[in-house]
Amino acid sequence: MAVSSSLRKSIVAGALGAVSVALMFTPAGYIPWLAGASLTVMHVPSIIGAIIEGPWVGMVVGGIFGFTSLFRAATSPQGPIDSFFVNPLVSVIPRILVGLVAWGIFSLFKGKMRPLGAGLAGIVGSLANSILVLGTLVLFGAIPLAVAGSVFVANSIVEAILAAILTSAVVMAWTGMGSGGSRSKLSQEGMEGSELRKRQEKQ
Amino acid sequence: MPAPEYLRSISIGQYIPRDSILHRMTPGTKFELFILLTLLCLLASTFSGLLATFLFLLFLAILSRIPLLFLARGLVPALPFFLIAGLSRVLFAWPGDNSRVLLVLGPVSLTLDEMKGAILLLVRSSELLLAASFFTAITPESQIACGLEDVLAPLKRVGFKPARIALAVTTAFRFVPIVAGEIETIVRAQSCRGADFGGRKRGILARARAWLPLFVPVIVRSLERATTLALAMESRGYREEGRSRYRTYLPVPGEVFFRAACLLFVIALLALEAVL
Repeated sequence: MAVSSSLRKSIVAGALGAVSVALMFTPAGYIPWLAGASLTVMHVPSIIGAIIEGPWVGMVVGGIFGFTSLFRAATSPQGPIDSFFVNPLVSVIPRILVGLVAWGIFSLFKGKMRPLGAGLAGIVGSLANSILVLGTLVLFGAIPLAVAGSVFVANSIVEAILAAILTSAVVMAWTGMGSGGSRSKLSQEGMEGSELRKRQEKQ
Repeated sequence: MPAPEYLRSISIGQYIPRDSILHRMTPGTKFELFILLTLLCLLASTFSGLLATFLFLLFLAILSRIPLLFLARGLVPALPFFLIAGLSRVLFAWPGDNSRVLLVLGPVSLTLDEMKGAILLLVRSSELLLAASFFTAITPESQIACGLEDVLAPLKRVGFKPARIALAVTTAFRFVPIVAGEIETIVRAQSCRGADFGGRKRGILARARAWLPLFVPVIVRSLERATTLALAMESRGYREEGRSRYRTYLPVPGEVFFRAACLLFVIALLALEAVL
């Protein structure tokens, strides 16, 4: 049975939004990096959503992520910069645009070379997130330009590479490109853990 | 990574149940208020504008019977950061700043523009924070999707479907605890197999490889769950058009008037700011 695409898109957007939010609230979203700073992969679900289900899904996932970080900043800020995420221009608008940018890059490939396209979309989407968030923070006067620049060099570039690897891996796992033949959508349902592991081992 | 007990630490906002007229208003109105307040905080560019915004916030908080102390307490952990940001505005020289110098301390000078900028930043950020925590204090989670749908309703005319966004948000609320639980399970499972999430590895590629066995299954399984859920809903006859709600929110008496008054107040304030 074919699921109407609009219903599936809404549900997928919600599910990926939930992954973003869950990553934000668990240590899994923060990868330890140099000198106590951590890299984040919380924006990657919105890039993945944009790639597999189109720009709207990516934007909705980004919106869910953005608003959650806004309300979280207001009620339980975790770090020095966090408090400034109460500004929707910092927390919401950039995250919504990430999906759009990632989809734009991925659609340039017109469905060919999907792993590469997904990787590039991950890089550009992640960079767009960093540039827009840091840029609005600077514009808003929260941090000086020099600080934003050093954060960009120290964190954002590495984050982009990480996002590329993760995006490409997930998109390949989901569309079955990495493991040779493609699976039909129906055969993916009800797939149990053992099958899933096998598929990951192949990669 | 410390012992995973993720489900405990999840809370978005803090709802304060009170029997006030604002709490009883429809979710759409609460969203509208939040949007208006945020717009005011962002667009007001003078001290008097921000003061008026603050008084408006104060009025709403008193009307909602939320203890002012609660709102003030939310501000406390953020204040040092706002102060540091304000200070950095003073310490660094900003290009194109030709205003009067008020104070010189060694290499650091305090100009009129810097001082203004620092205070505006401090006040604006605090008010945005108050607006957000005020909104979560009067709006329980169960009303958020519904309110979002109502506040986006005018976009129906341009072919936009707010119901889809509301459905996505509802799904997200349902899925967050499941996904968090799943992250916990997968972290434990992969740790048993010797996965290293702690960060002893050096280099970005090693780290990405360490994170793959966690990230890929979490996303793929939530995509699978989403596909199954969509199929289940479809086979039970879910349709987008003409759905009723399990719970309907009726406007309290005078709500339309209240909404119009708030909108007019905000427009008037912003217009006044633009003129002066």
